[in-house]
Amino acid sequence: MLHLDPKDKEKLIDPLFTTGPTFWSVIAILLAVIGWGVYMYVRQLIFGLGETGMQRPAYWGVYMVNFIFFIGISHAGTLISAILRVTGAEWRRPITRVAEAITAFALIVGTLQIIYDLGRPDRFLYLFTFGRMQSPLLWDAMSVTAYFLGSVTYLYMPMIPDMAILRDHCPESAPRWRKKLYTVLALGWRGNKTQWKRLEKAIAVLAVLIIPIAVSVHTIISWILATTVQPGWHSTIFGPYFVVGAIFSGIGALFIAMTIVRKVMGLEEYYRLKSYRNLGLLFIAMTAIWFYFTGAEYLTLAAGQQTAEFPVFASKLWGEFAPGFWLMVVLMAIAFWVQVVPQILPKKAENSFLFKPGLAWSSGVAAVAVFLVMNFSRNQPLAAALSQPNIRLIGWIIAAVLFVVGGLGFSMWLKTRQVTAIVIASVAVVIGMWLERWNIVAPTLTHPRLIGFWFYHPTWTEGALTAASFALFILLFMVFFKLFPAISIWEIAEGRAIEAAEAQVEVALPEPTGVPQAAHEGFRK
Amino acid sequence: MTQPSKFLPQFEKYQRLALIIGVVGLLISAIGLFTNNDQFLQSYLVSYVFWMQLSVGCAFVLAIQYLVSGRWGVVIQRILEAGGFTLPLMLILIVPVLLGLPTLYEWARPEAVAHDALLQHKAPYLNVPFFTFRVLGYLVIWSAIAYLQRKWSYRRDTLRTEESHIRLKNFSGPISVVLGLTVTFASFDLMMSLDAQWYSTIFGIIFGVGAGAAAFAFATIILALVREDHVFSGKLTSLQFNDLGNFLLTMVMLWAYMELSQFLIIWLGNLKEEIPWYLLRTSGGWGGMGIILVAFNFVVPFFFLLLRENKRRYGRVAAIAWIIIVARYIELYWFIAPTFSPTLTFHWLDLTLLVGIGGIWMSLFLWQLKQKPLLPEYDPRMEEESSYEHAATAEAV
Repeated sequence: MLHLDPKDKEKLIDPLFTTGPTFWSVIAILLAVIGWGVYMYVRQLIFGLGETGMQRPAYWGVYMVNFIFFIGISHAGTLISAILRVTGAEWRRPITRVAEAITAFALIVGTLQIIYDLGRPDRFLYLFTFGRMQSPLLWDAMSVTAYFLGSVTYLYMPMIPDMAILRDHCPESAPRWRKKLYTVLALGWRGNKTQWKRLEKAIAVLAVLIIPIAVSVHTIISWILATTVQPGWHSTIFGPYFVVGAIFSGIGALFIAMTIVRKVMGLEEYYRLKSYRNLGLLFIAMTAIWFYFTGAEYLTLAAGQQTAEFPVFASKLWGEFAPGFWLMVVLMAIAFWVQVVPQILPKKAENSFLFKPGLAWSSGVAAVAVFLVMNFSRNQPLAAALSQPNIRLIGWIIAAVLFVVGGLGFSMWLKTRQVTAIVIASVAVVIGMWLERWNIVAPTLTHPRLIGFWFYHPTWTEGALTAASFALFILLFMVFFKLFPAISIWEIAEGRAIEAAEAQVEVALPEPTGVPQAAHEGFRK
Repeated sequence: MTQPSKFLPQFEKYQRLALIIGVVGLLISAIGLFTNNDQFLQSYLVSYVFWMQLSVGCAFVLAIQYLVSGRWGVVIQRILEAGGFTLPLMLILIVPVLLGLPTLYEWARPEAVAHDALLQHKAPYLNVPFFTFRVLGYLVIWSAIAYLQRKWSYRRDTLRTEESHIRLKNFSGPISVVLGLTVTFASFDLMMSLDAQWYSTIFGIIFGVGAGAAAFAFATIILALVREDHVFSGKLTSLQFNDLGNFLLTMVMLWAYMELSQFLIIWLGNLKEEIPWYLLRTSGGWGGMGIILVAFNFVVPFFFLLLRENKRRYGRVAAIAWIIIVARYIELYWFIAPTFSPTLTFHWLDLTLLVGIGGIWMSLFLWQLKQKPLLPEYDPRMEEESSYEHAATAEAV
């Protein structure tokens, strides 16, 4: 029988064997969404890709965007967890399991997108039977497969000791198949010295190996686009740009997932603020790096002034793709703001009129009102007046100022709510990163070198399959954490042991000189 | 107060020697200025960019080491501070480049611009006054950053408070953002615009990574030389050399990744606007130089640094750092010189200017290095570090 802390048992193991109505109702909703997706997919299979909005020259659409997005999310896990393990960051302990699970499920859902994208899914196999070494598609298939196998192994290996704990502590009331499942998965783990040594060595080696594989995955996805000569895709920066974006969206997804797990399972004492704060610093750095890469990409293209590049560039900055592009920029700016500004606001300024909740609310509402009136006004004379450049400019300035004032007040509120701030930033980043991929895939395809313009409008088929993909992702996540603990129990226990050892080291330090030992002893009593 | 460095006499001796070498080198080069003006400017640009990127690389790595606390940062902090403090010198030494713009850059020659639609198109960005303003702007910003980094670090030595350290750390974030942006634009302006037809979005990062690698290598070499100073006793172990070796390994891997990204995409794209840059650099003897570059900036350091045994010995890490620095010069030469000559050439001015600017650079560096003890007098990171952490990370890497 392996040792188990009673607190860990209560918090991490017992919930695995009790299932409430909320769980089943969420599962039912998710299955309904997935069912809708399956129905729409069957329709697409029967009637062909004409069911989607894709049409020459826009032969890639939402599916490709989803593919890049999910594979990007998958970098949350393995890459972050591997980097943290290699650098020996202690605060990684509670978050590695969730991170690694995200990787495995995002890769499954991401790869499905490629199947959706094929009118004849059976042709997926041609990639292997007729693959050409020169084709980035084959490289991609290889690297994603390697990454998937590596990630699943990397998720599984640290689970082995936990499986043994579950095998030993499985309640009598639990169904027999579960006990059997844990017994099989525990691989006869007894927790002796040799086993520990081998396991830790294997995890350490795999952590080092998986980092280059993960980097290669998104680099090669970017090369699928960049090795064409399509305007907007043919850019040398794409490899690192995609990897940075992937890690960035991955951290966002990780924050969202771990906050949900923390709230739903009541694991506040495991996910301490320290993990949020440290991962948050990485998040801020990634925001800055993302802005740098985006800037480098667009500014260089602007300076390059290639004739074919320019229409694509223009369609994003002020053309038909501008709303998506600027929404992405605004979301990323919000993400940066809520992480940084609340931290640097002086505590003393709290009572200043600028930070009164009333002012913040009213200016926020006013900003939205100005924005709506400017863009969606149906009143003819008003709309005509608002279309004048000078008035528009003034309107934008007023909206921006109101927005900033509202944001400042909101930041003061966020100052003491770090987790909330990080979750807001994460949601903004995850949506922003989906839009980023949309802004990369769609504008280029609708602005080819030769054939004329065609706007790409996704249909309900793509919508349903996207919704179903997200539902599947959540479903896999929920089922997985109903079967297995959300936190690596033995790693937490190891962390506690290390903390205890460090505390003892501090006690063992020499007593301050000048204080006689006996007097000190007496004083203590 | 700690006692003065035991290397003080050497510092003074080499500072004088470097200054003499530098002045003599520049005087000899001055002959070239009058006999072969074009060649002088071309050689000058390569040497200038080499020393400039080392200075700015030091400032950048200095900011990074404050942000990413680690035992390796404290021991090279003074070296990086002194290296960064050569930036004001770089502000003065840019003058010949700015005076020789029409010789060096096609877009600065009005007769060339008149016959080229693309150059006319780019004229609002690439013109002599704006270019001069930008380049001077970068150098002024960098000098200010180096000055502030030194000032705040000295203040931390006097105040000896946690706050003074946190202040230094907090400012390092914005500083690295500013440096990242300005270094990118500086590489676009000084190097990419040599061939105004060509552009690559990743070029700024390749240059920045190279500058970082050069700064790490330089700091490693100097640290290996002064390792026996009193201040390091008990504080400098093979673990720090291991860390620096890991950073060098990371930098050469990043460099290879970026260079491969650029080459592969341009090669597969095969567009007539982009491939001339590589065609020029793979023919007429330049191709051989490119292979040497890949061998010594990636293959050799990569395999050498994979072995822990090699990272733990200061002599071996320093040797590989020398290779990386030399390869960095080869890289910049390979970036710049083919613009002016389709076949591989070397001129005696390349050497005299490299040594000339380098002598003055080293002299300023050593003068700055001897101002203070080689370790910061106060750094919370030195006290914080528990023995456990040492052992754990040492085992992991």
